[in-house]
Amino acid sequence: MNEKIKKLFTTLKESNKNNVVTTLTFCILILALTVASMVTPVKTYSQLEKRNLTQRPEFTLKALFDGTYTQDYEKFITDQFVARDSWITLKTYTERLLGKSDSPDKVDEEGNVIPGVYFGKDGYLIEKHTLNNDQLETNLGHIETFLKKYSDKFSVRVLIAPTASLTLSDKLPLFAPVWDQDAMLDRVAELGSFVDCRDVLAEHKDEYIYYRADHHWTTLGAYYAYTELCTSLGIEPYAYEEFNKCVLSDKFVGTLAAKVNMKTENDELFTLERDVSVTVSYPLSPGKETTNTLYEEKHLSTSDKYSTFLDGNQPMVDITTSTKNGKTLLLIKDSYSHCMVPMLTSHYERIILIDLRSYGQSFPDSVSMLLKTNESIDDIVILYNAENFSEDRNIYRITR
Amino acid sequence: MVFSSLLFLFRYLPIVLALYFILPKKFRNALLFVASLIFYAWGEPVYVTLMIFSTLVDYTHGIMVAYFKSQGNMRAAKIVVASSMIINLSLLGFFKYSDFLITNVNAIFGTDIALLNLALPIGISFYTFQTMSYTIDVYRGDAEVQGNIISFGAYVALFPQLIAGPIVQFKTIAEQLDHRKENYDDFASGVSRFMTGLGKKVLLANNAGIIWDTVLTYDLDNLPVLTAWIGILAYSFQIYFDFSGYSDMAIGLGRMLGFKFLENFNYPYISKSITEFWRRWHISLGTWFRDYVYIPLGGNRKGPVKHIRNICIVWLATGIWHGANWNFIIWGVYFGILLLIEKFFLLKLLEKLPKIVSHIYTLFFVVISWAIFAIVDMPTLGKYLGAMFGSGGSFADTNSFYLLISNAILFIILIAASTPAPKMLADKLLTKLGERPINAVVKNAAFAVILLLCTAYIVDASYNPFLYFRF
Repeated sequence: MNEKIKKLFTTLKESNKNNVVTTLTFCILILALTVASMVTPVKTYSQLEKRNLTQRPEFTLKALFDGTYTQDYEKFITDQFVARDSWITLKTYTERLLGKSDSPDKVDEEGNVIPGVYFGKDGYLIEKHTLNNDQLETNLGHIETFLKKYSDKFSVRVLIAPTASLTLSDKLPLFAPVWDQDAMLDRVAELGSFVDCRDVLAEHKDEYIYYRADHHWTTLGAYYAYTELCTSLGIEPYAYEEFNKCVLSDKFVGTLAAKVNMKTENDELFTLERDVSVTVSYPLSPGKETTNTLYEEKHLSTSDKYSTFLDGNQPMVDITTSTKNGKTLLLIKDSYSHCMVPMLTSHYERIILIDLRSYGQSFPDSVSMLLKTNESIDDIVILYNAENFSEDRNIYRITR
Repeated sequence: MVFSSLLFLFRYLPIVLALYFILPKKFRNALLFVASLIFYAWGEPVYVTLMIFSTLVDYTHGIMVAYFKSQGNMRAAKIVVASSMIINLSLLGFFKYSDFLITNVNAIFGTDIALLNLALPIGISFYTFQTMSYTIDVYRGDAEVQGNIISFGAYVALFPQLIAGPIVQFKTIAEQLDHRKENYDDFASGVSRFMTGLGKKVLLANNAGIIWDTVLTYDLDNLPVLTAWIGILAYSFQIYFDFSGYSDMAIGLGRMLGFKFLENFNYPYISKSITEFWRRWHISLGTWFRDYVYIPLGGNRKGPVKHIRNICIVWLATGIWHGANWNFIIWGVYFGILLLIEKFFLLKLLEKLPKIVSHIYTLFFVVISWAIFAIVDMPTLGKYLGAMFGSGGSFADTNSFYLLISNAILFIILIAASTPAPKMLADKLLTKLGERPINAVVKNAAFAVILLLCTAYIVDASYNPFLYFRF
């Protein structure tokens, strides 16, 4: 052994010093990251990615020979890599340094495209949506069918909200290609009953109407759409000053920031409400209790703060308000509607929200059943954002 | 397993390197053999048997050739060589070309033979060529027979070059197999090479690939000229940095372990003729075809007719070696024709022309070749080539400008990195710094930055914010 150590030192002496340093630096770097990644505790869930992380796979001979063990093991190493989220940040800043003005789309394991974002002006992140034309045509067809079926019995309105890539197009990077949202909204308008919010939002585009780092509009953006919606339904909307602005969080970091894990200016999550008391029940969410608030404040301490409104995406929400006018609204919606609901409580005694992504899977909770059994419904509003509307695969359920 | 993965960088590599340098020299080949089998079996737990089979075939065939030669029985030796070639080529032919053959037979004769749908065993095109060349070299007397199955196994399976080359001919490392000396100087130069390669693959090739993939999602019928060229240029960079990056990593890893593999790329994009391009691109493949096909067929020494025939055979084979599809055959024939034209008159003309003209000529035809190489589907290929020359109906749109502006810096880096300039600059800087410690600081800082950035990009590739998070 002594002999060996002696020999090692002679080689060390004879070698070029700089090469020894390079050798050691490389080995230490690789080893440090290896050890760090091995001792990092295994996590089950990623807050940032909102998904379960791959766990250490179980070793079986079968899994080894059909290749799933090695595949899963590799996924496990990657998902559990030390300081996983920080690497994403490093990558994003490198890309920014390289002058890239967008982050590339990703494809998840099921082959779904997860759109990247544009790094827009004034700290805005704007989603890079690609239009799925076939799905859009299908969805337009379902809306048409729905309007034919119910327009004479109810006041039906279709509010497809433009997203930031249209309204804030002057915040996009130079020449950034975006999907033709205008043309799509023109198609929706042709069906009738359309509440066009493009002009009112464009008029106020310099105000804070979209979050800088989230794909939703702000409550102010929703307010302008609310005025259009009310006018269209023959309701007198309240002026902005007549609402109380109540800040829920000034540290809101939204979904778009999570895509690139980049430091952005915090967004302000707020609500506009009047003095209306409510009873909120969630009929299709087992175990959820009836409450007296439209806000689930437990979400304010998580990264998913927008879910504070109406507890995120619930299949059905039934709200009874202290506005005793006997009017009922059925809102078929995505989450763009959630921050508008507090404003609408001043105009309806009852608001029923259904989310077609989880509502209407079976006949007993189908839309036609709902409309048959709730004769008190006066108005129906279909409220989606344009991107979501064009790609949602569950819109067909409104015709069931 | 691939080099540009967390699994390789932060599990496999440190473990193998540590074991390798802890073990006494006599066990190192055995370790390499076993480690390489694990490396291969990680992605191909079943097909690893094919590689072992090919290894055993040529191990035994090599010994038989040597035996018959020592007996003076050249006829028997020749039969053994033929047997090795038949076995290896059948293996390759069966797994790589069966379905292609069946598809074409079905198309021509209207038959309905079911496809085998075999997955292509990784690296089979590389290792069958290597094992075959060994037996041939023993026959020719260019290589000594390797009687040690461990050493021979280590040669065939050697993980640095196993799945994407370079095609290491046995004779070039026969001596090193049993008598190599690992040392700090080689290890450090291996590190430098490996880092260069990793950076090329992860930072350059993958990012160029994103541009190409983006362009492919566009409507090819209306693709503006500028977009089509941005796309194919991006692909040209992608394939170069991907492949040469992989070769750099292979050479670098080999160097760390004490092997000296021959170079595989030599700045192909600075070539001034297609002939020169092929002397600089995938050198180990060109050399292989030269040594084992072109020259045995008579090369250029048997008159112009046979010369032309030999070139045609080599390039048809080169084309089909790259993949079992018509576009690869067209690609090979395309180069065969260009090389013939150059050989018989164009080369003389090119020498007289200004350098810039011959350079543009070369890049033009190389870039066109990459379109043929990249697009397997014939109608799509036709559309894409058409779009490059205006069939899309416009020269540019805002999309083209966006691609250009958003990727301007990347393109500048890609262009610079495909010339020898960065290496020359770095060498000059390091020479200027001399043996002072600052030299090591600069160099190692650069390696650390490359490693960290590559890790960031590799981790990011697996970063999939859950789709339904959006709602």
